[in-house]
Amino acid sequence: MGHRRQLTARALRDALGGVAHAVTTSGASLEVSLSSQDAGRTRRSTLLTDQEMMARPVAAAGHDTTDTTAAFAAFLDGVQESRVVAYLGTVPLVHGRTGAVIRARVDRRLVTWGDGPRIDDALYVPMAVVSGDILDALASTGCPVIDTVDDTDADATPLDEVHPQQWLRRAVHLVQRGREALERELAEAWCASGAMAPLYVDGGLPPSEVVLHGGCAIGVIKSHHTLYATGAALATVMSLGAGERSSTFVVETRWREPVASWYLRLRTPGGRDPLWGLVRIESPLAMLTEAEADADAVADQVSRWVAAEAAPLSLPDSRWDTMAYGIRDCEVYLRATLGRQAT
Amino acid sequence: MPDSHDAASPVSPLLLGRVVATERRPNTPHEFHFWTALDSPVGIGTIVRVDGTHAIEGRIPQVYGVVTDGMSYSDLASPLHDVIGADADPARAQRSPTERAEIRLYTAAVLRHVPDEPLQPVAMGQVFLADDRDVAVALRMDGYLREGAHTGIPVGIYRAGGMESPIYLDADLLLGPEAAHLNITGVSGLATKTSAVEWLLASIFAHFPARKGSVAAVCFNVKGTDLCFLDQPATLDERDRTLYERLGVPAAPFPKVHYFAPYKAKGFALNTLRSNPALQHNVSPLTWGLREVMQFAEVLLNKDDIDAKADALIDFVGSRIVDQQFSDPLLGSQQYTVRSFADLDAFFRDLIDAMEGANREQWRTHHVATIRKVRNRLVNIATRCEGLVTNDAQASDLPFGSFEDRAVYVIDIAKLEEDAQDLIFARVVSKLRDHLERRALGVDHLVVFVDELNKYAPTDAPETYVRKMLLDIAERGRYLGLVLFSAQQFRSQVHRRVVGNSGTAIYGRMDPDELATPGYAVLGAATRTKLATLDKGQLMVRHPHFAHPVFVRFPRPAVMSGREGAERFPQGEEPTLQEAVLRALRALDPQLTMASIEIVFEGLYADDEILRARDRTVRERPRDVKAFFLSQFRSVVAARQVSPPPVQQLRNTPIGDPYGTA
Repeated sequence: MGHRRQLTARALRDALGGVAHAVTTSGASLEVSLSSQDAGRTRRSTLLTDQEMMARPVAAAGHDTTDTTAAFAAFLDGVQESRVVAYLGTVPLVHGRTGAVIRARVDRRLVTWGDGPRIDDALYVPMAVVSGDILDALASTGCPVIDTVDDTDADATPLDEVHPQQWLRRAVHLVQRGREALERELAEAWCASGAMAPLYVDGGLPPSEVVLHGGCAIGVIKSHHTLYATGAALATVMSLGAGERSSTFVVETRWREPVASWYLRLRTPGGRDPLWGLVRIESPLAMLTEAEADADAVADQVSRWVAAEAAPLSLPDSRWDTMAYGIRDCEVYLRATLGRQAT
Repeated sequence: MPDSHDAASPVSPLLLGRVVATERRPNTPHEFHFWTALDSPVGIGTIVRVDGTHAIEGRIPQVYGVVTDGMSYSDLASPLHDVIGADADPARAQRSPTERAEIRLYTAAVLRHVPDEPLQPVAMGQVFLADDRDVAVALRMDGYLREGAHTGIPVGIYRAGGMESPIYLDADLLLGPEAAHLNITGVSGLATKTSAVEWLLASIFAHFPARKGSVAAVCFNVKGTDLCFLDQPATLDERDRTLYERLGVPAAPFPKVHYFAPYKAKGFALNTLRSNPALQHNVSPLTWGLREVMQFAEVLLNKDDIDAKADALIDFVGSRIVDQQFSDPLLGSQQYTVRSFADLDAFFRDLIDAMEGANREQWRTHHVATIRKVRNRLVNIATRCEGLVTNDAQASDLPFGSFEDRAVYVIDIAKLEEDAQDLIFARVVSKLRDHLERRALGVDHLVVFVDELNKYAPTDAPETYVRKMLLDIAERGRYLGLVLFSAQQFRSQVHRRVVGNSGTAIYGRMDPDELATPGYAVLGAATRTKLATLDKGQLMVRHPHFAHPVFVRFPRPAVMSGREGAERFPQGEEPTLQEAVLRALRALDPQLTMASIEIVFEGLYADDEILRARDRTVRERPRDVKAFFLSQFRSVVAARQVSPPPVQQLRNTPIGDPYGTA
């Protein structure tokens, strides 16, 4: 994958000539420099087995050393990096790079699975506000050009009034989409490969029928912009002790069919934030709802698998309280492969 | 052999790693870094080849290097993180499902760039394990292993990653004339130094090109039984035999070995640990008379002994008195022919008596005190070197002038006093040098092996004659074909000019304290650590052709070790005079019986006389040993009762004789 030569600054300069104002690409990427607009939110969710949100000890999770058998055979993660490379008048031209990889565990060592990483890059620009000549010039670089105009939003700001940062956010959003697409491709490839052992996916399960019905992947979410509990249920979740999980519930979204989910406390927060050491696990709904499945037993088992990945620590990554070492390994691998800092 | 792999030649099958460099740890023309897989067969001393990535002047450069250091680390930012991750339980850490990512990062010293110019930093290429051909190119052995040269002397096998490559020294740089000499360093007791020399001599004898001339070795056995069984086979295992076969050296003891040792004080038996009767066929006495010793008197006389006055008298004695007829008015009409220490003592005694009688304090400008002192010192030599210095004028010596090609001459001085050792060393080496200068030794090249250089050429001791001689060999010997193979435990304590002039240096297992001395600073820490833990049979070799030392393994010598020899051939009992004489003569004539010579032991002859007869017989090696031996004794007429002769009756006087009795 990624056989196409990646865009270089020289190729871009050659293509655009004097029509663009080139921007140096040093400094932080857009993912870092743009302040997040996501506000945290809570959502009520439908419990699967319990009548109310409960804390359930996960046998062997955390401190019990008798059962730390690693079930995950591989880890999937992706990275992205977006940078403004030029301004076409007032419109920023963003270069986005994405990558995803599965690192399989062989004899306790992580190696790249399959055909290697999926790596891609593209230029992001609102096509409607730049001339055809510029678009032709951009196309001549060989790098795909993706339109950042969102024509699905009827209430959108007129194009000539859009703040340049909005174009940047839109570009970063599309780059994220591209990264998620790469991750989905790899997850599907894993499931299609007939692998018997589950894949540890960083983040939510991808919206893929193959993945969601294959029972071959488990999603582990580290960040909690959306908390799937409110009121007392949220209090229960935030007070989970190390080695405890919440009751299972269903996560429903517009873009994906429902999945089963629950929270798991990996480490005692002590005096830290109540979300410290807390992950949310997603599994295909069928894994817990199949006729012969004991949903709680399955959730406990998957929780133990996830808890087993708490060592070794993924320090010095700042997210080490929730990040599995295998996921950190994926990120390190992709950073080394992409050649520059990617997040 | 071509300079390097050409483009069409197959590359080494084993890809080891990849060159890496960072701004903080850049590659240079003489050093580079590479990483490998965790299970890569790379270690300190491994020779590797780097294939360049960009052609320079139409040619892909290749760089050869030897691993000098290595490090590994993981992505762990702090050891504390590992503790936290395992809840301070080491067992739990072991059970973590994933091993941390880690690296094996090696540093290699450049052995050679091909092509040599332009000399550039090592490129970020792939790193391969060097094969036989690579090793030859890397160590510049291709220059002397090529068709028409063939001056390679196998020193051992280089092993790495399942490959074994013979390593050769260049005879021109080992035995001269371009460079010469070999120095071996290693701790005692691991059979490194002696074994290495025995192996290397065997290798030289097998591979030294005939067109370069003949070669022999003189070894001074300075301790124990180390060199006492060079003609006896060792018990070799299959692995050793394979090494011998691979290196083309016969796995056999030296076919031509000659042993020399002085007598013990009594003069009955030779003062050597090779005294088992079964091994006497090639053991010869080493004895010198006054003439031989006088040439090297200064070896035994320290600075206090030989002030200018004494020196002048010694010169006078040596040039005017020894070995010629001498007379002096003070001594009356007596003619002196001083050939032995006994003669010298008698001469001095008469001279001093005469001076006292004439009430003179000076004789030929020499003061009587000086004469007394010189007499005391010179005559005392015979006592200090008893067994070596004879009281007669005869010497039994090495066969200077008729040295044999590929022969080893061992001089056993292990049991001698230090003075005698010094004297032997000084005189033998001087004679060897003299003969080689005149091209009259019998061989063109001679290796002299001296162990315990810490003792004979220390760096911080007063100047001695022996050290001067060692320096002389080290600095000038190669022009003559006189090559010094020296060994010691502490190289740092040997005179710099001796070790510095050794073109080739071999290091066995080293003492860590020794490795901490400044002389080893040029070696990396990892190399020094490896040197401190080398196995038996492993050596590090430095040679002028090698840009960096390499580690090799050599086979166990094919000669019986001193320890095994001492068990298999225990020392003979201290013989009586009769046994000693018979043993010596039987070496010449095995049929000889005690009965046939016992007449000389019946008390008619002094021990000295008998021993002189034995020594002369051994020296002359006559066809009829018994007759020759017996012929040296003055004939003694057995005492018998003599009866008076019968008295013959005188004729009666004539009758009437007026003078007759009645």
